[in-house]
Amino acid sequence: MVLLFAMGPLQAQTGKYTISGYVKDEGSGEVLINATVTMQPGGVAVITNSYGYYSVTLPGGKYTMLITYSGYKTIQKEIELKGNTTTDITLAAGGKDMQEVVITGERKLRRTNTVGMGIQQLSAAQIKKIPAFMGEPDVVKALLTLPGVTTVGEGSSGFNVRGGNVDENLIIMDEAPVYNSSHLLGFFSVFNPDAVKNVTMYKSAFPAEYGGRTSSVLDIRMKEGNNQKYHVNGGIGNVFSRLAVEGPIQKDKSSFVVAARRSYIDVLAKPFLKAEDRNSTMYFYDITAKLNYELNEKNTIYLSGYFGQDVFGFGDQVKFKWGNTTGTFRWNHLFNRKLFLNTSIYYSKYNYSLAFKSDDDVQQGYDWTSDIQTYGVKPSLTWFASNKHTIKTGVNAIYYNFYPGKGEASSEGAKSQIILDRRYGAETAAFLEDTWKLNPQWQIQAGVRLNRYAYLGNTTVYHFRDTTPNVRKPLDYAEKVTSKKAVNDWVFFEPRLSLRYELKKNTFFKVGYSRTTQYLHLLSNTASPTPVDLYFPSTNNIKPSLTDQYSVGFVTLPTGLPVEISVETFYKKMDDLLDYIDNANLNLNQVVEADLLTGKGKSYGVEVEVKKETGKWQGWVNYTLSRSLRQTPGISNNDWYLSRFDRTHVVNSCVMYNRSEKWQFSANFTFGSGTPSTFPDSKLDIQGLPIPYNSTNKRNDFRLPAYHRLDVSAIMQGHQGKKMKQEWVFGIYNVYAHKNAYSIYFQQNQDEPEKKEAIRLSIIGSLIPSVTWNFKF
Amino acid sequence: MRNKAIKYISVVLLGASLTACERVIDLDLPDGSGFPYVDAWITDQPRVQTIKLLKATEYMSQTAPEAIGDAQITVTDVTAGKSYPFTFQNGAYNYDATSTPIGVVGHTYKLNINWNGEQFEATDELKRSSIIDSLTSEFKKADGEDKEGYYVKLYAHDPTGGIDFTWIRTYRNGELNYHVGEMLSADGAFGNGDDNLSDGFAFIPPFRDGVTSGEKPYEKGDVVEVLFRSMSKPSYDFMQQVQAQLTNDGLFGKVLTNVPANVVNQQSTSKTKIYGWFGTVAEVSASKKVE
Repeated sequence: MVLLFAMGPLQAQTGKYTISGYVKDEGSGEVLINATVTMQPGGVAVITNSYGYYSVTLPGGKYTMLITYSGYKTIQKEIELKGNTTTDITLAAGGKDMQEVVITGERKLRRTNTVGMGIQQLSAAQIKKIPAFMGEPDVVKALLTLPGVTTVGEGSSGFNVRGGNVDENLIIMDEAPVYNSSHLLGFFSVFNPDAVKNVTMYKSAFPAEYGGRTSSVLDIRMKEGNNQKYHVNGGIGNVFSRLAVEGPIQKDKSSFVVAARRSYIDVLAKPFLKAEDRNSTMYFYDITAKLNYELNEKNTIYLSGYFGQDVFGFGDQVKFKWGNTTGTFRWNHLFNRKLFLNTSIYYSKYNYSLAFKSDDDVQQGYDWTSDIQTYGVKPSLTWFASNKHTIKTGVNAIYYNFYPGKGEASSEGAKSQIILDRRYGAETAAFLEDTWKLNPQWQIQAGVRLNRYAYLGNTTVYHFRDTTPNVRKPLDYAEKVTSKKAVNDWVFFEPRLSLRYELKKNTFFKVGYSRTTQYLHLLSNTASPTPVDLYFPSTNNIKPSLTDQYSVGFVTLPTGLPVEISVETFYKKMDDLLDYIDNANLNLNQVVEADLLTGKGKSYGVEVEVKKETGKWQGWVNYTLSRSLRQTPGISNNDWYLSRFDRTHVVNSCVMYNRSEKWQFSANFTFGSGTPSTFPDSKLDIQGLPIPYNSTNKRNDFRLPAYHRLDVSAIMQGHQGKKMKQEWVFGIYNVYAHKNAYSIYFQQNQDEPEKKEAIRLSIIGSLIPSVTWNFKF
Repeated sequence: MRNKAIKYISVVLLGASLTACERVIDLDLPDGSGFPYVDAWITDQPRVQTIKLLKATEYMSQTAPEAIGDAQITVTDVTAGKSYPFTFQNGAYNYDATSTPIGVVGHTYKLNINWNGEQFEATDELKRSSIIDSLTSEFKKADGEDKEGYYVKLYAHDPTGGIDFTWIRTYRNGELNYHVGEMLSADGAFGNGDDNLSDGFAFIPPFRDGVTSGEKPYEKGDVVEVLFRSMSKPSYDFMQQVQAQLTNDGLFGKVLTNVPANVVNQQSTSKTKIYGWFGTVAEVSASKKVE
């Protein structure tokens, strides 16, 4: 607010005019997010918003507009500003249709053109260039090549950002939250790269418009679809096939895109399975669709949706399904050249069901279902107040409906069931943020977010008595709250601040601070989250978690070197993180809150990255040195211990070689400290069972061996016909077949029970070759 | 239930990925051995009852743990007001209950240990047992990883009312069959037994099929014995944690967590601890000669 008043006169001064419009892809009509528009003389530069819109206000006169966007040819446009002007700009992709990002001749500024730190963007084209598991480009796998983003191992769900838990990432697809980002447990993510336009990840200094998670924001924008002509593209690979159709509904006005995938790993695996396992089904599919319609110059509406499901079956005996459903309606409205309104209304659901049936002479069955549903509305207003100030403000209301589950068992005609009470939560927020170009050296992005979270009634509210930490809390009393009024509520004031100072040309020093809070938690006490883990709200027994993050860094484009060098350091302080008592019962447990503990955490580190994104040879190397620690009363002697996702040293490097228009090669190497683990130092023999025991009680005091892996891929442009264009992607994942440890566990030898063994489990135990054929017509 | 299902899936998924591998590795583990623990399970059977007070060994150690012989150990039937002194002999404390069993369903028992001038106590309640209906055996040809041999099935059911916890152990020719793990049931199903969902039901298929290992099915002439041990809720929780530590494999293994102890030092200020568990169980068993 202070900033608003400090801004002085906001009216356009006499003789000043606004030029505004959309920056779009020439071929498809898709708007381009974060394209840079620079006006010369004067050097005023602005970036298009999430809807491709820009607005600059300047004194009248002649200008040269320079529009740049990564992977596109930079264009120059001479204009004479005599009055307010609307100019839509179209950019041509830098290469042939099927070809990936090529040299634009223009230096791409990423870390340098944003005020905030910890922001990384990937376009669909970039994601497709990184060697991928099974040859399938994947959003989450691509993110893992960025500094500060890790997982606990192959096949594990989700990802960890700067020492935060998997559930602390706000993953939004066209504004709708996605609760489980993984297919086939963790081997693939749910985002179909054929339908993804742009991926932005915020690891710190979060813009004020985002809230509700403490670790990161992954903002995924779907493609709008080509509004010029019809296209069909797809691919056939080892694991799944893809097909996408896009085209205009009304040329220049409206378009659609529908993209679908279906895996067939189960079909391929069949010959290798036991006869009785051959009845098993295991696949996933997803459909992503989007429609947009430009009502008139000032109004555009979008409708987008996602539906995906993983299915696992085993004859008639086991049927297990899980998946996300999201839907978003958006309305862009231009009040005037400087005032841009976007209103999003969204819905998201994650559900799973699990059914068992006996296949022998005793008729028995078991069914289990659970879900989480979210409804949200978010109007936000961008005001290009002046060339110095861009103000973003809005509100966000979210309603949560948690269904912890229903279980139903039957046996020989008898039936019984348990239905857990639904839980409800409401989150309301208002935000205001000003991006202020103080002078040529200083830029400030200052914002506040005011959050209120209420745990709502119409459920049973449990009250527990205090006890020794790490012991199940005894139930004091339960009360049935019939109305939907707030049982508990919290109000949080979240300041967000980023400062950027240009030390010298193309060398920037940055500082950031953000506070974030979180009101829902994934209940999971296994090595990696499972698809049947529950999301549970903050309640009268579980406080919302809160994180403060401080970061400092610099980025430079050294003269004479075509690289970007950046260094970022961060320190995160986390409060009220969830943990579990030993032997916690997280399944169909009405009083699950009795088994939860809260503790605190901290993480800190430095991320160094050198990147080259132009020329025949491109690539990056990044190194992260960081720690992630937890302290929970009752665990690890109440001392600080390493979190399961602490990876002290991580190196990612990627090299891409654009040999010719026909061939492109890339290689990706990753190294990371092994994840912390707890090993036994002794053994109890109880009733003939050798029970591993850790007499120090310290958690995660050891580490698995370091993780490293090399992947390579080659992309060959096949026949580029007038109608159909083809592309082949060859890849080898884990080239030197390193058996990376996912876990080490301890067992007795079954044949020689007196012998005890340490066993290393590697999820990927060999190299994995892949071939994918892509087509487009 | 759900953990089992997840395990199932991870096994098939890893199998399908064809590349997952498990390998025994050499690992230098630290040595935290030497602390005292009890292995004390009293049954309702007419035979010698044994309690062991031992010193923990290193995890990889193949030698038998050292016994502590200088303690006085007594088990008291709190309900009946009777005491049973145990005497140290051949590395264990024994009480000859051949003529009159110690354990009676519904009674509460207390373990007293007097060691190094300090008193230790633990209590447990002896619960009723679930019902074994029958064992059947059937010859099956090799199928994928399941080898050719005899497959034994266990038919059992849960008595109605209350929640009945059962520890199921399988013996082959008198030896514990390590190829099939320990199985734990709450009312004939998996879970913590908090929901009382399967009261009175037949034991579910994983138990029915769980007494045979496809890796090493039975041979003609084998005698298969299935033993049911009833447990109190605390003993069941303990055994669940034991089981979790014994089968910590797969994509969704849990972190190594120490199993709890129910032996309490009566000198609240003392730092001496005895680990391990005192449990009282009612046993029923059935055996089947494979032919």
